[in-house]
Amino acid sequence: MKLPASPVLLLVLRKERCQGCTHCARACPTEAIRIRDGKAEVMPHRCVQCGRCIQVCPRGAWEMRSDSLEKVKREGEALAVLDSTVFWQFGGQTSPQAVAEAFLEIGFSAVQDLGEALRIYAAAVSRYLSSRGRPFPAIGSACPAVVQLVQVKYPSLLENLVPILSPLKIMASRPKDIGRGNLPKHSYYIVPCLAQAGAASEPPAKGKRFYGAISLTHVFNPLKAILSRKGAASGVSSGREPSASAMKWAAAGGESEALGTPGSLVVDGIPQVAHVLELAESGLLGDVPFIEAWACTAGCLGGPLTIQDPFLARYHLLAWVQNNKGRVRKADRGKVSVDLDRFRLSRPVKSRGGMRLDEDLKVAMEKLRRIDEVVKKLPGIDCGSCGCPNCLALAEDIVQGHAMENDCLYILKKTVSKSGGKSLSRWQTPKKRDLES
Amino acid sequence: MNLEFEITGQDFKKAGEASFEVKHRLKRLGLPPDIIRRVSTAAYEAELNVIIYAQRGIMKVCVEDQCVDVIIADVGPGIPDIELAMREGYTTAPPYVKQLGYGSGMGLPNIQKNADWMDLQSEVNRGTTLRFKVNLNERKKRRG
Repeated sequence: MKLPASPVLLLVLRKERCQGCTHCARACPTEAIRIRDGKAEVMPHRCVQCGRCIQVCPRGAWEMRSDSLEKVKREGEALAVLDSTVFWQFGGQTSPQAVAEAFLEIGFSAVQDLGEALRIYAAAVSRYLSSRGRPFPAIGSACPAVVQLVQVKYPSLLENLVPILSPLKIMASRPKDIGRGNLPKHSYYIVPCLAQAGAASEPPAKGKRFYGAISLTHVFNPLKAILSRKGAASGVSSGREPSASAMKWAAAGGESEALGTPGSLVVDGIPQVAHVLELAESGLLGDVPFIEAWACTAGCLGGPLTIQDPFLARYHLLAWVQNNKGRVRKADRGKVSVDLDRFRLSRPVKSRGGMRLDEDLKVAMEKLRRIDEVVKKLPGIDCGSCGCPNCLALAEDIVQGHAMENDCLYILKKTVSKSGGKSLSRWQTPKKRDLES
Repeated sequence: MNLEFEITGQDFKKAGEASFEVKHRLKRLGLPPDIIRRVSTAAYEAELNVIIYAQRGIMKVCVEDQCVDVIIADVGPGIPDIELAMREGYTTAPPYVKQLGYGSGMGLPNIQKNADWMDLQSEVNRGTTLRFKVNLNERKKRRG
């Protein structure tokens, strides 16, 4: 069986910064990272793009491969699509309008927020949730890292994912309805995380718009410089008022609020999401109708490419909504009626089978048996010195032929003392290992 | 492949540990999601029954060419009337167990729904042995 190709992965390691410390390997929810020859390596087929590695690296070695502002300037004409998170990186004194305007000064010729697309998305999802025969609980698919986590680790929940196009895809599928006037030739999505960037950079369907992706960290400094220069007074009344409900999507709970669904389970943070999915998989969530799940703590505001503390950012966001009640509500008025079929995913989300040991069941069983054997020999202290996140992962790598028992320092010590300390090179591990196989 | 787990009666904190572990192992084998879901759901219910009613028990899981074979044997009060126990909603769980959210009388019927084959043997005051199988190759059985 051929597995679907891994999604576009824009994760890169700046090798000169990596010191092989295993922070990322341990934090990875799918154990997709190993330290080989002193540097971190990722197994793309297992990576769900949650960006935990970026967040926990003490040396900033993991990064998103971002499109650059230089490219934007070179193209001369480009649209910046702003994720709601973008507006809350600059402190409580900076209005969303001022942020949008600042984008025009750093090289973009037009700016759009996701407000309208989010409204359509919310309407489509809430129609779907009230449709008969849909699986329980439905799992929100707005966070692409959660979708990928399901694909890799919880394939039995694939049918529970809400089968609606992402807000960005909705935007791409009907730019005329959403954009006003002529759109620039090029579009860039300003992203708070790796997963959104990957989703944005997928090759577009025929006739749809292609988006590049620019990391929030990449535009923060130039924007901040402009905003500090202008002070608080700028951008107060220009342009359309942003929608409060679209803004709230940036924080966990915002989706449920926009959907107006009574009773949804809101969970944020990848380990917590994994646990809830675990319960869902075993049918232990009782009557929960909908799970709103975000890979990052506090929702997108906690994205790995954000700058502001997510809780402070949420405080500013909610204060803004409160202070601008009357005006921002206008943007949310008016019914959105959607044709559900138009925004349904054309193909179901497929399993990526990232956790399975072998394509052949019998071989997989044999491997599992051998892993049990090997793990008994290991010390079980999960020290990470071998470059694996824990002893079980090393056992698995050994059985898969990617590592050797002597990669474990405890075993190596024993081996060396048995041999009287002679000729260590005999046990040195092979240089070239294929992590992909 | 054989797996074996011990289950301790009344240990609600650990409820689900054995069946979660079974689920993880089956995933590593790359079995179809539907099979994994059915095995782990049935195993969870069986594990809970041991925790609610029995003193102790063991769960044995064997993955064969054609099916996943699960045996849960306990030392406990046994079931006086199996036919009655199989009815949806019938329960003899004490109130404090129900307060914990368990013992709604859906366990055994749920196991039957998810398994392709099931056998229940019990001796009062001695214990209960439940065995069920989920076929690997058969097209998916309707879940009720």
